[in-house]
Amino acid sequence: MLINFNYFFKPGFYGFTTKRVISLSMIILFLYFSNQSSCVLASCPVVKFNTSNINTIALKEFQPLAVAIETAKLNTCKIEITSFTGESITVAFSGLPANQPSTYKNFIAIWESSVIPWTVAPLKMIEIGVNTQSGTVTIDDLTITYNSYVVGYGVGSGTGNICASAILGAGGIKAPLSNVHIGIENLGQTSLSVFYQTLSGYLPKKNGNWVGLWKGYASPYNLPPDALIKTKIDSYSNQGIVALNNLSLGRDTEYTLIYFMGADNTTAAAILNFNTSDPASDK
Amino acid sequence: MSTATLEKQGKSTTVLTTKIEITTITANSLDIAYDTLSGNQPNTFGNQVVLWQNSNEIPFGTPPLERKVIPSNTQAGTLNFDGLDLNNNSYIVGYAVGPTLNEPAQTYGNICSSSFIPAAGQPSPSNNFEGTIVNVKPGTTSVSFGLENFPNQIDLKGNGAWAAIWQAGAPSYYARPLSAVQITSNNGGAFNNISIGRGLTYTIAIFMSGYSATANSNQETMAAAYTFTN
Repeated sequence: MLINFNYFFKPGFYGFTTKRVISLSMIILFLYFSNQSSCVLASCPVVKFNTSNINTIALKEFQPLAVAIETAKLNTCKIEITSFTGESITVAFSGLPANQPSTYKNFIAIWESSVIPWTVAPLKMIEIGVNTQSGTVTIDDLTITYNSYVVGYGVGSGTGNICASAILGAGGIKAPLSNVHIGIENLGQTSLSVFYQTLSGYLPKKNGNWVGLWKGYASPYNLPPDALIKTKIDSYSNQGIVALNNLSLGRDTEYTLIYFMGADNTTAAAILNFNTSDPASDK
Repeated sequence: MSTATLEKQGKSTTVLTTKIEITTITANSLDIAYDTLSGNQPNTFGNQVVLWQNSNEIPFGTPPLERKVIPSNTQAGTLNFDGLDLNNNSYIVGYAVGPTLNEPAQTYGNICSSSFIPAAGQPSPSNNFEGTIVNVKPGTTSVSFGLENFPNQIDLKGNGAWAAIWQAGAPSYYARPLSAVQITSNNGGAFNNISIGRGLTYTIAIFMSGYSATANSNQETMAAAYTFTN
């Protein structure tokens, strides 16, 4: 502590001038609210002290809730073109953990286009006939020209449930995959902002997309009845942010956020598991 | 999942085909050798050899010069056509793995292999074609396959051709397959919704006719097979 106390206690009228009282009060305030920006302290010509002496519990009162680093886990659906001939395309699909593609009417569809033309019927649509979370399907009886083709993976009946796509580019080049995914934009004490992205040209509001939040590790195929919140995507934009308000989120707790393509809970497209532990803590 | 063929991945495969060969030709006779799939009963299953004067294509719409049902039930054998009047023209014989078919199918739509003699030429193995299953690509819940060297003008779909898959080291004329699909293209097809086990052995076979969507398809017209270990 290199504070020059002689400055405050000079002889004459006990040394307490108004100016000195104000200065002393400011130093006390700085010491108390020491978690404030250190650059303010550094600019003070009189005070230099070590922050390691400050009570860490008092510090935490000023930290917002946060998602613990490395604890968020996102599961999404995926479709990939593994091979093709002039008449067929073989795709590998993979759904969310515990999905039953046949029971939940999952399907694969193909269009001759570079983006899914949502208003047009596909060239071919094949219902997945196995209840395996991932698998392969060959769509045959096609004529694959040198044009672009797009295949979509739907997690329920109807093209509005397509949550993943893959492109066979013109000339046979495979383009990057895309799928529905979600993320946490901001996490407050009583609110959660969720970022969502769906496929190009998709209309979340028209198709009744929604998100739900559950405590713990929840599975969309065996949902606990007590959702913390369920919110419809009230936007036609294929990507955006949806706010979940009036929540009471605990510290260091597991939560599951799920994005659904339709009213039925088996149409889940993305699952995000996260933990609200404090990244500043020693955990 | 690898996109390379099983052969390029160094996996063990076995390819079976129906073979026919013209061994000798004279002005009045033809000698033919055939070698069909294991378990075939050529006579019982109505196998036949059909002869045309033509270029190196089976002319499905043309009445043949001659045809003969295989008289024995041995899987391989020889057959002689005599009493012919063969000139210096070119000739083609086809091996049919089943009897003649009714409209709208091609009459000799069960032909899966052929042997050709060019004009005034001698028999040559390079003029033989055998319908073959190629490019088998197993996925986790599907298998795709290609078809090669079947007669160019055959209409596999119209003739009711179909394919079967067994979890076995060889095809069967009797055992019911895991899955069966109608052939809709002369270039290949695919089985969907079957789980392909790790390290297990499977056999795919193609039948030239007899597909039935509602009942068991006729399993006697087997033309080619392909065995692979996943």
